Amino acid sequence: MSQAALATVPAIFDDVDNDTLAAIQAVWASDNAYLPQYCPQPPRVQRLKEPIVPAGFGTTVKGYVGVEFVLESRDLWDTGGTWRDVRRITLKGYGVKAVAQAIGQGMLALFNRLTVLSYPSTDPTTNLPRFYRWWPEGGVTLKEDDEVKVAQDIWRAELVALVTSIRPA
Amino acid sequence: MANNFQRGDFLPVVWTPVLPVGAGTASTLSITGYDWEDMATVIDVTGTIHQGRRARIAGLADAQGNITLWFDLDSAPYNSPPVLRSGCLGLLQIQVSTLGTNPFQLGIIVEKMKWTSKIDSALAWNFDWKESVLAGAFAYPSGAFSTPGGPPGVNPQGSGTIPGTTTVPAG
Repeated sequence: MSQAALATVPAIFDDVDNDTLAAIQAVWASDNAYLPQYCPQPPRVQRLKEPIVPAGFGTTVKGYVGVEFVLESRDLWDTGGTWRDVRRITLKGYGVKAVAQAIGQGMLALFNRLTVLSYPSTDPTTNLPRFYRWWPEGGVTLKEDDEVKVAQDIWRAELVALVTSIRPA
Repeated sequence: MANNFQRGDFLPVVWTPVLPVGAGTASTLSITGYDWEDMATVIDVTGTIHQGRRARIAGLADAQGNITLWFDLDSAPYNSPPVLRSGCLGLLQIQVSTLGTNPFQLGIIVEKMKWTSKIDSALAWNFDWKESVLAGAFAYPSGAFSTPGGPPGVNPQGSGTIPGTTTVPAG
């Protein structure tokens, strides 16, 4: 590839997953009263290797939230060359059963059909990428996880949604 | 700014009856879709000077459309409000923005209401309408459209907070 061709590649690649994760974390941060009691950390991509046991809480296991991204579809939106990107996003709230239930309730309140994501990578001139919609696929499901932390059964609250954004070519 | 595409699920219509009940209450209709056209009569004025190509000018402006809804017995269209019956004159606001502001606004007459029931579906209805300035003047959406959305927890339709976001129990 020539140097001239390389110069046409945007300096920042269209990293949809990281972009969406940052936007989800921003929505999460808007709740400074309810969820922080159960999740001291913002949503993350991978599972925690160790349980979160804050100092002074003995063996009380705090919860956390992991996010999974799967590309559902990416279609050309119009002749302007923009793309319609759809990701299947799964929020997984881990914790002991009561904590997982509480996280699930908080997730449902924050992430629903009316949720608006603000992408940090949006260009002020092109206005892309642009959030289109958060489309929930059902409500929160509560399942017992395979993991055990500090001799306590871990449960998992799951929320699945299709998230659509309009992306640059 | 660009790429400000609007979601259909945030675009209701608002109906305000004018006749035969007098100035009525504005009702936001929970619709499943709308389909309408803003059009003009086109008059052929072709003459020999047009060298074999067609020439046209515009005549009367007009509008007509159709709106589809599920039937809700607890808020039936023929009751008051919304008093939506065939032959009624009223004002229709058709949203084009998820912000719930700056709709098309036009006076209409309800021409036909069609009811549809099937074994494997809920009772549905739809109505055809045509423009009538006797019920109100036509107006295009106006004013500045701002960026959709806002801080989380705020309904982008601008009608208050999202149900559920304020009811999460503390602790």
